[in-house]
Amino acid sequence: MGKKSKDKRDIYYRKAKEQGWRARSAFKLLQIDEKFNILSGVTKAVDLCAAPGSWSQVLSRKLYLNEEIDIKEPTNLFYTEALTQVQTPATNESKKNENVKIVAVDLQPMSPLPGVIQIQGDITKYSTAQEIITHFEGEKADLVICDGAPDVTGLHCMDIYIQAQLLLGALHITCNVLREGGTFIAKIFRGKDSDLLTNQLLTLFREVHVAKPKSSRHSSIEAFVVCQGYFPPDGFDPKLMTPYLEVSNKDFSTLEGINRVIIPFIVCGDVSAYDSDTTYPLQLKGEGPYEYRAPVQPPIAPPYSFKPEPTKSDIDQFLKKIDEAAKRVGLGLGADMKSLNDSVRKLNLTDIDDQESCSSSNFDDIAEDSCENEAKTKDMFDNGPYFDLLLKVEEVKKLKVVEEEPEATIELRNVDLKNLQELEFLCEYESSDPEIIAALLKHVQQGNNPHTCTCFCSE
Amino acid sequence: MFNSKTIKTDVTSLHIYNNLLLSGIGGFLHIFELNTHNLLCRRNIFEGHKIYGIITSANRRESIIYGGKNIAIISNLENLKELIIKQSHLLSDWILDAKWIDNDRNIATIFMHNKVTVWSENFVKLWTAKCEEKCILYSAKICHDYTENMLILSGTVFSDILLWKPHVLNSNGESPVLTRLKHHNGVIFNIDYNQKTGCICSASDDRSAILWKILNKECLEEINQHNSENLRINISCQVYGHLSRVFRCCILEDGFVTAGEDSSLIIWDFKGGLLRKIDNHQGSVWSLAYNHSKNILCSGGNNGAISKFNISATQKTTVISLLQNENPKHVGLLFSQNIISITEKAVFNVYNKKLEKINEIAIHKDLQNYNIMAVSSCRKMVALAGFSGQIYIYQEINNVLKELTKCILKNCERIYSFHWLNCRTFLICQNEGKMSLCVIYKKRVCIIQRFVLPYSKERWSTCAISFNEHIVIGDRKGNIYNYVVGQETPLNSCKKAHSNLGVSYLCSRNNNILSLGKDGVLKKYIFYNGLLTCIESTKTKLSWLAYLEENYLIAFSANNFIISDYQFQRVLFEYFCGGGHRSWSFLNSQGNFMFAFIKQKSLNLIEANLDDYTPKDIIQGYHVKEINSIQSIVISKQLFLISGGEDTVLRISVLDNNSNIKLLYNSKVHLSSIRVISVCNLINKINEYMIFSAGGRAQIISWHLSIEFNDHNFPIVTCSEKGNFYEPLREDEAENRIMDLAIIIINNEIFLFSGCSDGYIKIYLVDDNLTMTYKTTLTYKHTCITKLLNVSINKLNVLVSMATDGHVVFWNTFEIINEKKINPISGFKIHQSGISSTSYRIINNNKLLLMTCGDDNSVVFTLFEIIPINNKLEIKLLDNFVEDGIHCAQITGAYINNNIFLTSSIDQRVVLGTLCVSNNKITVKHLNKYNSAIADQQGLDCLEDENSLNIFVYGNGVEYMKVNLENL
Repeated sequence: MGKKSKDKRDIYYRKAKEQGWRARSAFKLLQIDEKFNILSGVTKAVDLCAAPGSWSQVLSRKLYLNEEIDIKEPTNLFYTEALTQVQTPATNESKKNENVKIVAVDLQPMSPLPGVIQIQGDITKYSTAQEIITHFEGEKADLVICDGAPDVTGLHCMDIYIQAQLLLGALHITCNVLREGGTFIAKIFRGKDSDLLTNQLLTLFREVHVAKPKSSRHSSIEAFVVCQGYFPPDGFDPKLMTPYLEVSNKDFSTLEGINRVIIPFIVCGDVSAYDSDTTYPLQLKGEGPYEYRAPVQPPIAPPYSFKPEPTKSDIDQFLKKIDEAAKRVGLGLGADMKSLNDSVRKLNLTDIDDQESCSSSNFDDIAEDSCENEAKTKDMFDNGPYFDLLLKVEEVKKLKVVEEEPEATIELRNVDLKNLQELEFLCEYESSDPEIIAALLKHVQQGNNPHTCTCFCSE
Repeated sequence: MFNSKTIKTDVTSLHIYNNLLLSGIGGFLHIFELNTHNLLCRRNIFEGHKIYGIITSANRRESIIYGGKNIAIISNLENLKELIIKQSHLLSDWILDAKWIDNDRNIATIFMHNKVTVWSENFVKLWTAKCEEKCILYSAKICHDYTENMLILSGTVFSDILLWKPHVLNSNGESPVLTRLKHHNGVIFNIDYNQKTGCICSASDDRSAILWKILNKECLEEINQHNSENLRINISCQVYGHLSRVFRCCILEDGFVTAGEDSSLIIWDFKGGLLRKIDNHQGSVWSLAYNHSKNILCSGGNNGAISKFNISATQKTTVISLLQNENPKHVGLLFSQNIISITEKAVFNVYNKKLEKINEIAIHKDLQNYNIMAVSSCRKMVALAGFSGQIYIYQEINNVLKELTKCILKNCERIYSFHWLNCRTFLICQNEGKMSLCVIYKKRVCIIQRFVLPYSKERWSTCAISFNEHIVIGDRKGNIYNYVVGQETPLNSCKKAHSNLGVSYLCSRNNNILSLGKDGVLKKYIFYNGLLTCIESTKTKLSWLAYLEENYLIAFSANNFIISDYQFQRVLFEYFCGGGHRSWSFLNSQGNFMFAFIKQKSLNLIEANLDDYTPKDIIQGYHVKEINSIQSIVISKQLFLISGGEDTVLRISVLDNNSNIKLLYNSKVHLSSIRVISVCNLINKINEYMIFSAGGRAQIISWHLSIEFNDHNFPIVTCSEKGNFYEPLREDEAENRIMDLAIIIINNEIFLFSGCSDGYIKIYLVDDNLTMTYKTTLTYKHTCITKLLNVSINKLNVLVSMATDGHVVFWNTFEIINEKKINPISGFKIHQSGISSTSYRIINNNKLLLMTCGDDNSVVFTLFEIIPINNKLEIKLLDNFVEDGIHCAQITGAYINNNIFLTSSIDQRVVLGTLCVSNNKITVKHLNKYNSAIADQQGLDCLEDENSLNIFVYGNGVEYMKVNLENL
């Protein structure tokens, strides 16, 4: 599996990277917008569970930067031209919609986006809702979107349940920040009992659709609820919403007969839009040559990362070792220790973006210094902190040689032929004694299966 | 109406109660006898909801069963015939744990929203406590037995474990968090607690498990928010051993066990030392049950398997030093269990195991510096051979090793390898591939036959066996040659049967030849007209296969020696020996095995009882991950299932009298997932079938299946791979998947149509030997094909293709196979998006009733008329009926016959209805619905017999149901 394999499997994954989207899910929102026109006239938008920020990016580019993103035209399906305009830093200031306010909420931090205010907070807390409204100067939002999904366990019923809880959490904060008539969009898992959930959204919104963008895989259970025209019933207190909308208390039976409303299911994405299940060649017609691109935003510190961040004591120990080694060879590094110290510490504290510049500048200096005297450097390596490691590598190398040496290449050694004299020489020619051949054939035909073979050894 | 006969899916709960094993599979409670593994009772507790927990009490003869929001009480476990469900309730939130408290009078439950409710035995809500921290929990544990001292451990999505007491309240009336265990770096999936020792064990998304210890557990009684800082909890150890997420953990008497997504179970001691790693299940492990007095651990996996382990299995290690610090070169185990070895200085020793004493047998000075040793399979004959063609044969008689004969080959050339064929015949290999077949006749060695190994770079043999008149030899470069006595050159050869790492072992069983390779592949051959023919190739998870005996496959993986079982290649025993590049010997006698090897100039011996290490299957597993296709066939009134899925394994199973699914054959040849299986009876042959399986990487494999029955009417399956159509990708090509297949037989010619994800339909001609030859390709649009149907009406053949664009497209099959200009006849947009399942029937010999179901939740019945006009076909749409209210997710299963229809969906509902066509009008009515616990359903298969439907719903597991048509 090369790094291209994901590109081969998924057209939208590839396209997202090519057009600078943080994740392929950006296309899902674009396709929903294409169908429902949810972004038109929106000046205040909230993105819940925003990280890594691809939906916020769509809001930022469409609402704040005022980009024309037309995904209807087949030839210009992925608006590569529009993108090049954006990427040139000379984006006209005048085009920006300064009156647009976008608030992104997540527990985790994400890289900044133009026009997006970040709140690092918990969507289940009322204080977060208040903070959002403060950013809108007391006004309420036109649009709330949520693309959050839980850690999927593989036990589908549990995953679907947790996703529904997440949606309810998002809805809870939405009721506190959304203006009447506003729109709410959130991810749902279409599975067991998902109609229970979507049905109840009708008590809060005039229109509810379940949308499936073409960029969402056919085989995936993911879909989106598009709830338009928020109208809370009289006397509805959003702070007390949870008991009001207790999905959990209902059962299938409540959905039979008259109570049952079928939520319309809408597929989004133009006829000409790419289909996420279809296999496309890497080289598409009418496009520049294919080129592998690294992901726009690689994952930040997954829980299974086994390289823990170096702690202060780790750094101290590392520096101490270098210092000792330097002193031993009389290299005047002692005085430089402070600068090295600082740079190493900085290295571990700066952001990913800054790391490169920082490390390159400082380390180049040191490398030059220490290279002045080759002998000294060698000595430092021989006794320095790497000495143990080098020894080990040598040992392992040696071991491998012994182990992997095929029998045939073992050096030919003189055999003392005198010792062989007592042995009877066996003729090279094949025996023609029929008695012996018969004996052999009898034996051969018995096979050598250890457990069905008759052992002759008792003879 | 739906009568569920069997279900195989995630085993989400296990509980040992006396001599019973209670397990939750789907919504069904299965009760097994722990010793005999007999299924005593099977009861549907929650329709369509999985059982996540089974709780019994020491004093009360009633157990709590919960799953999702459902909870039930069952009684009469002592008399299973009268087992009753006393109560069943739907609560307001997902239940994570439940417990009998207050002298077993009340029931406590903890919910996903960090809330505890206590109920009376009649399920009257007594009181509720909320934790001040409101967040979603993935796991929780209720500890202690009384309301007053009840302690909750809740594992949050934010990596914390919260410790709180429902009986301690703050001024807001909520329960404060008394302490927060922070050290994990991911969701907490499971928490276990041992009241006696005050140990807490937690399993997490971060691939680790942590054992915590409450140092002053005596103060737990009076702890509250004001003195909570007094509580002292330490981390005893944090263990890393799983390759993936850790889902379950359980504290044992003298250690703890963890299990996870990587399918392994690891037993640790309290200090975090790894005691044993068991790689038993083939997928995630979802449940554990432990019984200390019986020393038994049971585990349940996502492949539906339940296994039982003896956790007290022990091994004995002996290190034997040779006299005078000699450097041993070769080691062997004899029938007497004595260990022989020859050193670099050619000292031939025997270690008497009973006396624990080493004896020198001989010093062969001529074997100094170079010698080889071989022990016959009966373990009574030993051969030593040298650099100048010397051969010394020893024989063990009455546990004493004696020299039988010796000789030197006249050419005085080095002997590269020596293979015992049995205890009187052997093969030797010399320079330039010279092989000599020898026999020991009247205590003398005679050469009978010369063979020549074909040229290769390292030209020597590595293993050999005799089978009837054949001698089969494997060489260093991975080739296998078939010789007969009387001919110097091979009859035929299997070039590159294994990679150039070489063939490591050959043996015969059940008239087949098996070969093992250092490439981790196991191959099976038969003699077909005297020629060695490969019929099966299995890539195991093990990297270096070394030896096979009975059901035990011996292998090396990195530095470890591994014993695994032959059928499933599960690791039973693993030992760090340093790797396979050393002399070793393995002997198994009556379940006790010995493994001798050389390490650091000493002989090492490991002994253990393999039976103790072998897990016992209480229920056999089925597919791991999603099943994408099941085809059922009936032969001699027995139901056979041919299935494949994301785990790339093709399985053939039979339903026994108790509707258990019994595996008959499995093969892991597909490089990627199997998406579709097509089965067709071979022309003019009974009980013989052709099977085509296809899926990821655009691979199609054809199989020949024949089923016979033995005297007990038990089926004997022979399935062999015939053709493997797979084109490797070019660098810039995207990965193509085959989505559906259709077999079409016209004028005794077999055509295979495959629908691909790149929008192409490819056509192959299939010959008598089931090999496929590519003929042509159809295309109309760049959209993923999802379904193909071949419809023959009134001698007309029509191909129907469906795709993710929701279109149904008709093609004239005759035109296609005659390779005329190929354009579709016509296309109809029926669905908004992808069509995921379809079924059809012919009405009045000229009309086609097509049922299509899609991703858009709708079931559509469309009536077409096929009209032949001047050698052309015309398709006319007569009527269309859309039903989009019966499912709320993608509909993946569809079936129609003359008057009924069936649908199944990812929403886990199986719907049965009637349909009627009269005057070109379709009317549909739904009758009944069943909620299946099979998640992520990928389809259904239905077989009709005289008066019932046999329905298989599959996806994340399989459920078999019967519907009696007489009641309709």
